[in-house]
Amino acid sequence: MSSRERQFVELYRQARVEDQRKYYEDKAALNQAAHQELLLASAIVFGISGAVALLAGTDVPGKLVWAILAAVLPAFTTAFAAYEGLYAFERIARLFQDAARNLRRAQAPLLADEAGAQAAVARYVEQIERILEQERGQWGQLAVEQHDGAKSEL
Amino acid sequence: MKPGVFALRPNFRWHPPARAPLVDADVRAAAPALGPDLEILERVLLPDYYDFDESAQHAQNTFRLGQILIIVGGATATALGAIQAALGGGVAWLGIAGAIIAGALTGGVAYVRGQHAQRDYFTARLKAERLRSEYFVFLGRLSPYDAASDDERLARLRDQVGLIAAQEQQA
Repeated sequence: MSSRERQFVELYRQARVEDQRKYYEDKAALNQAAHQELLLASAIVFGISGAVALLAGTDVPGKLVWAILAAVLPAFTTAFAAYEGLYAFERIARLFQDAARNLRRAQAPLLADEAGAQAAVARYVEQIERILEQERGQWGQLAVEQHDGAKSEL
Repeated sequence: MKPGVFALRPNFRWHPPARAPLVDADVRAAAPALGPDLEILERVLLPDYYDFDESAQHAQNTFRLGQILIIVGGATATALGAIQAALGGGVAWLGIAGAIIAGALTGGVAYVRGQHAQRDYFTARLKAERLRSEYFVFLGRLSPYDAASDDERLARLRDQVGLIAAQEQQA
């Protein structure tokens, strides 16, 4: 393999494959965390909602305040659900995890034979670019679904 | 550490982030044989890549901001209606506030739909990603950049960048 090809494979591995894999892993972790946080917030608001609805039905002081809270809190849980729908945190996290896993599986070519070097480099780049294109396709599909979902919500 | 929900929120005042190189300086320094091609890419491809990348981020921010304003406005209008009902009705200021928010929401929805920010984001992001892919294919001298002459390779790169930049949304 020529010095240029060797340098290209190393640059491609670091600047394209590793960089993209790290991006996917970071974004997957961030989206997963956001999904968990929203789930927790929704569960807490749901719980408080149920509790204040019960209090509103009893003879405790501040009955009106409890009734107002019982009426208002479900609007917050709906807003949380709409926010989750807008970002699709869980689906994005899964999509990025899959893409990162596929990139981890791809092995850079170990080339010694001058004749087959260029073909092996081409196969490697084609394999990686196909993984990234698939991710873009799935992401695009998700974006279209979000767009359609947002239109129907409006 | 900032929670994930807030780390991904849109900004009211969007500014383009600092332009990060596609290849870090230390990685680039370890590949001197690729120097001339990296310079060509900086001149011919990267300006378009950065334009589309920033357009995509801007459109995404605009779309999400619009959607969040609608979500918050909708929740507020619902909450005001619920309070009115809990109070047994007839509270004038609550009714007026609810009507103002509902009116603003209707105008906001029409404005957000008219902006087509999601479509712009989608188109610009795909173009930026295709240009990024083309960057590395050119650097590897792979098809269609496997021509023997540098002039031919440069001409093919210019054609390809022009084609991607002019492409309309496929979806």
